[in-house]
Amino acid sequence: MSLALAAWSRSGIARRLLITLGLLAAFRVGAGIPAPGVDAGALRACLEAVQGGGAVGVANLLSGGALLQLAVFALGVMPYITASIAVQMLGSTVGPVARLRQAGPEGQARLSQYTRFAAAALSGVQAAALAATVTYRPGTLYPGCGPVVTDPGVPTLAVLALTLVAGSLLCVFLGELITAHGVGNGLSLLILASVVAALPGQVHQMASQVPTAGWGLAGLGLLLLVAAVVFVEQAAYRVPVVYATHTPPTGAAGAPVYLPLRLNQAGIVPAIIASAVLSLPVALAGEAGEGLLGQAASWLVDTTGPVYLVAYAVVVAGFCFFQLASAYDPDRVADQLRHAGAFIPGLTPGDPTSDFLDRVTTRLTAAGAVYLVWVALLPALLLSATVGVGKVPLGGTTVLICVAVALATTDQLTSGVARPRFPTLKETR
Amino acid sequence: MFLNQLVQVCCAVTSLALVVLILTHRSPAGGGLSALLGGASAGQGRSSGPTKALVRLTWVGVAAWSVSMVAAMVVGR
Repeated sequence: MSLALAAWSRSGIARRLLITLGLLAAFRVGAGIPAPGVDAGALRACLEAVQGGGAVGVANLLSGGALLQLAVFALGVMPYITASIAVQMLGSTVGPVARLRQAGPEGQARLSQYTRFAAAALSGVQAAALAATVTYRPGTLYPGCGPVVTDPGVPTLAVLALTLVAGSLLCVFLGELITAHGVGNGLSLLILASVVAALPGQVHQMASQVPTAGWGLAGLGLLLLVAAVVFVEQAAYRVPVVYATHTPPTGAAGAPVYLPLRLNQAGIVPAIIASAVLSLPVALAGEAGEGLLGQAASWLVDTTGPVYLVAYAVVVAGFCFFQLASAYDPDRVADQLRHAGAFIPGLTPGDPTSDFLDRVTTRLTAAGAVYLVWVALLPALLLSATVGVGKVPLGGTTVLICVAVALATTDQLTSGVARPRFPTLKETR
Repeated sequence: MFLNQLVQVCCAVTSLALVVLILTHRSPAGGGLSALLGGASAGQGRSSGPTKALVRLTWVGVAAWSVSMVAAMVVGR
């Protein structure tokens, strides 16, 4: 309460909060406006036939229900996130892209621009596929349903696809505005807003599946899960650092200084990516028929089966280590420590320090990957084993997204409140 | 029918304009996945941002696109 009052009393934070809330509200309004050419009446009738699980369920949840409502923000920020990952992969393997990453703010700005172009191309492909599906084969998304567009044809398809691309890019634009002028990370907050918007539907779905006697158990499990996520998201291994030459940057002479290494360094993205990647074979299962591909895809449909669990763990761990390899360079950190006249007690600067940091971050990443897999899969496994609940889209990942983004935003808000505000040049005149 | 087609044309034109404007709009440095993973803080790298004229034009584009979308929703009912 005192945090909220302190934040509100500071005009800068209050303005940032209002901007954030306003942009989030605009995002949610866009998620409710149907794209041009969509027959709203027919769509409403078709939505009742849709089940929550599978690939469509995951994509729909991440878009806050906008996907199946064929809203102008149906694609959300997922094409941009996918494009970001692709550009980051290229940055680790392709020379010119790697040079841009190391070229300071100017190179980063250009990479950001390329990411946006890639996101536009990717959202173009996804929008065209979605528009073609709802125009010519609506039964794929809405089982047993007829056309959901007013005038099936190429012009309607083109307008629909173009609108969805523009909507997706506008979501990214809103996210960047929140990051620059609001509170917290914009893209994370947009994902959080989508997940929270879909939460009542998920709770209703679970409540209809869980017998009344199991509600207490499910509530207790949820509380324990939230507590565990809060604890691990704030957990960090603190490497002691000693400054040999001058006062440490914290300004507290003689006070111990630590280099914090977060346990979950990859954040929420591996869990989201794993859910999205593994939902693709499930989506293709219907098209693959009875062949080997169809059989392999059918194993992944069972989200509590051993094949899905192993595949999920492999994708999450793979992405965690990819993230570590592409975003954390122990040689660079060791160099920075040496230039600052600092060292880790018991280690000489240079290679031994770099090797130590490499070893520690690798172990932390392995632990972080195990944590992400457990958080994402354990709730579904427990619900399946104890009360027999079937498919719930995302499940533990929903809790992870909500808690992690809330913690990061609160941290930024707290640091904004604690930071002294100096009068601007205009105010002093 | 004519009104419906007119609104659809407006939607297509404003969507195309918005795509071009947003792609031209240079984002602040430090965006992308690193920002999503928590690396970016508010106000980072504003010096490399877009010009004021482009910002205004983008907002005009956003407003025109929003109006055409609402018009399509109203006409489509």
